Amino acid sequence: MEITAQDKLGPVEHEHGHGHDPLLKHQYEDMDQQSESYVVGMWTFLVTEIMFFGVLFVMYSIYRWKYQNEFYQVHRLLDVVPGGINTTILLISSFCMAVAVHYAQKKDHRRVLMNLAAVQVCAVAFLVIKWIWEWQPKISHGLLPTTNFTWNLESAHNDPAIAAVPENIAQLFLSLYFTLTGLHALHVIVGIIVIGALMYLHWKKTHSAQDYVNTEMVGLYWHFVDLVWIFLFPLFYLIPR
Amino acid sequence: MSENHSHHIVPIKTYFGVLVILFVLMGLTIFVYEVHFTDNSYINNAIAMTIAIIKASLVIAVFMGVKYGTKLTKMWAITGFVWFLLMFLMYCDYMTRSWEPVAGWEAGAETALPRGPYVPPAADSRLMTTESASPAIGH
Repeated sequence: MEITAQDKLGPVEHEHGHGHDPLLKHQYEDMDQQSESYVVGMWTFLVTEIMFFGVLFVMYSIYRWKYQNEFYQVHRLLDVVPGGINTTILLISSFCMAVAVHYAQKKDHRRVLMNLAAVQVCAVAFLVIKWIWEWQPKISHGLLPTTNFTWNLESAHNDPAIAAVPENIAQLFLSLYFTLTGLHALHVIVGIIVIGALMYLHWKKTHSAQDYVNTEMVGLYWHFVDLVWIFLFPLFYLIPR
Repeated sequence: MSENHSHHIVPIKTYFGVLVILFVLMGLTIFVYEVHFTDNSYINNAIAMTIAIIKASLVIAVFMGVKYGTKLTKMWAITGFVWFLLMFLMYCDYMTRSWEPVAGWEAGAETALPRGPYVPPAADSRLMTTESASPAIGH
């Protein structure tokens, strides 16, 4: 399309002196409507995320229902201590994120940055614990369901009750474990990148960082990551006998 | 100007209160996991999932601010979880397949209902006990 003179004039329109908020985009009536649109848009994305993780949870539930005893045995390979520590870390990070949004509403960039930094520390700690304490030892035991999957007494932590579980069901549980925690970890990594970008905006005190709703939207995403973990923790680490 | 936004600033005290409740609920989940109420795990599972749903609701309502949000925000948030619950209706199909095996299905061929006119349940005790090896009618 041809660029008309009016298109070029477009951005200038923002500078008209009608006395409304400089953050208000011209397609919105007022800031309330604009913020609502942003938040609803973010929730629309989260609905797709709920559906994405939802089918995986349903798949998990069907196999858990079918193989309750086998799942109980194999789940004993997972350590509840790093699982519990990671749950605590994510809950704290969610709290810090909520506080960051609180200060973003008050336009206190320094405190927003401090809280976002705390969220980042929590996110990195979560991934480090996940890898060093959980994933890495399991992979070196041959428990990652690939062609190298090994299922014997040694890989089953020398526990005969665990090793007695048929290999295909052990593989099923571990596939679900690596898929769901892996996709969750991927969301944590994406969160670190997005929060990093948001920190840059607050650091530079950019125009868009003046609007709290940007922090709010990143917050919504981060709380969702926490939400997924709230279900993953009891489903994988706390299977009752 | 920017002062007339009606967005609600939630005090940090509220967030902290929720965090403490979330910690308590997490501890409760781990505690309940160790307790054996009955021979099977139904009660444990029900309690663990109830606590997880309460925790999730707290995060959604307060941390995600849906409680303080507009009607439209609430509607979208609820829509997502209604979808999630609807997906569990798959169970209605999945769990009831074995109740009425159909002739010709490999898994339930021996106990399959005969094709033809409907047999009232009272006359057929096999309906709810597909596990038992009762001889098939009509074979």
